[in-house]
Amino acid sequence: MNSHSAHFYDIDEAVSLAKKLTSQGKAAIIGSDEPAPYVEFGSEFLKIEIEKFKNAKFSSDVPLKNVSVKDEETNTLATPSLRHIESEPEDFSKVSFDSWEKCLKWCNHVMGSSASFVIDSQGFIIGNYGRIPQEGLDGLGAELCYAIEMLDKISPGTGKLSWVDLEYEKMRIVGFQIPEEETYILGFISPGQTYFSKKIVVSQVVIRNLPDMG
Amino acid sequence: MKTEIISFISAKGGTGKTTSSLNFAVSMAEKGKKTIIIDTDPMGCIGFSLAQNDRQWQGLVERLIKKTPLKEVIVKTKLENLSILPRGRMSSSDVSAYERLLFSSDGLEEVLTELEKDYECIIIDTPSGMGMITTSVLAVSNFAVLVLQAEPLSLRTAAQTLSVVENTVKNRNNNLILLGILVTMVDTQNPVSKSVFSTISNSLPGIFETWIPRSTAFIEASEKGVPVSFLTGRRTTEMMRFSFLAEEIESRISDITGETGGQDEFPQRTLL
Ligand SMILES: Nc1ncnc2c1ncn2[C@@H]1O[C@H](COP(=O)(O)OP(=O)(O)OP(=O)(O)O)[C@@H](O)[C@H]1O
Ligand SMILES: [Mg+2]
Repeated sequence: MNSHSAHFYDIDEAVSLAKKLTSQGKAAIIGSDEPAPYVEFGSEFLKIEIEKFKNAKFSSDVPLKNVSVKDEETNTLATPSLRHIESEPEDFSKVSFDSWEKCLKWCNHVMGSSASFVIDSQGFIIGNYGRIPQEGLDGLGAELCYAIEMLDKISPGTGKLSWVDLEYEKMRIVGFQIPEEETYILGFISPGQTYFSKKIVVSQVVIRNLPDMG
Repeated sequence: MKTEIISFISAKGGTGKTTSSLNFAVSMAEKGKKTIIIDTDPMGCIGFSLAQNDRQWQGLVERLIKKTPLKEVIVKTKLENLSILPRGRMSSSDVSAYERLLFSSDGLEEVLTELEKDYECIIIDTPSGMGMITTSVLAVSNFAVLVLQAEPLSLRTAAQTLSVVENTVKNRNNNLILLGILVTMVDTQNPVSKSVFSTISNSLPGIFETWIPRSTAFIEASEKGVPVSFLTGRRTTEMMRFSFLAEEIESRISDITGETGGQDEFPQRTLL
């Protein structure tokens, strides 16, 4: 090292993180249970934080000065108010929806998936939300419906299959067959890492709201 | 083709995120990709770099709060394939409310879902620091580019930035991939800058081969309110850097997603 070398704080840590986070190394973090060298603030913690902020008040529509616009535009130039902050309801017993659209939006959020969809008993997609692959979901919906029908037969006496978790090399697809007489299947593409713990909530909320969804 | 969502991040301020993301966006557009750059920085902003009045443009804020349709707030540029989604008009006293809004609502994700229909490449410029905005942006991005200034202090923060990325991958978005590390403001006349540059190039994985020199061209460009490749005169190497970067980034992405168009392809089949 010559006299101009800077002191490289944390370079080792940066090196090992960069290794893990680039495409080649990424499998390692998702799969690892290795304890972090620091206190972990998980997403649950962050939700609590958001709850705290939920009722915060924000400065209102103060018109901006020094903006050169015609008079009739002044109105639209007011700073939008940030008062109406949406926030995720914590009390799941109160979550209700009357359409698949709302249901999927909620599920997508809770599951942290990139897209969610619902198929009817015929395998037709009747609703979707999120970032839908450009090729669409029709093929996927039909195959998922068919696969679940097959899997239902794996073992007699075990009842109806409710959840399937398909882990492919490049993406994960999770399916939930609503265990009611009128069968619908919800599909989730690339759900978030903690989706497993959300299964019960999603099952309960969706089943409870099913009669209200047309 | 799937839309790529690429965010430019750094914990340290003034590393060249805005300059790099904007010039990279220009290069992608010049390569014929339908590109949009989104400004999420409540303080800085693309508006300033392009010599616009900070409050001239509506943008993300209006879309999120007033539900103004995106097409009314997107700014088309003279470059055919390049659009800008500006931050929008916001009182500086609302910055923290804006941060929480982005963090706690699905607003950003909804905006991206809409943009994905029209754009092949979505580039997100983030504020410095790894606060709520940057983490919200990472939660919805496919790729992150870490912008690292070739000076000792920014190295100190590299590990911090990367650990936020790691945390996002673990808790919020396991699809996120660190696309690479872009070294900026390399001052070849300055021994410390050179030394930092050679250390990171030799030790950190994922460094882009394209690096950005410290150059007055960038300052001149930002004075004139144009991307660097729009300056008149002979095409200098600074101007070409970003088209090299665009090529490098495209080839890394196709290495990751596979040439056939990626992970979302399903054959069309009929059931009945
Ligand atoms: N390669 C370069 N050479 C010289 N000056 C540069 C270079 N890149 C950026 N600059 C200048 O440095 C300043 C900071 O750059 P920029 O705004 O892009 O950084 P940033 O990371 O977006 O900052 P912030 O954290 O405030 O958002 C600007 O004045 C810009 O013109
Ligand atoms: Mg900036």
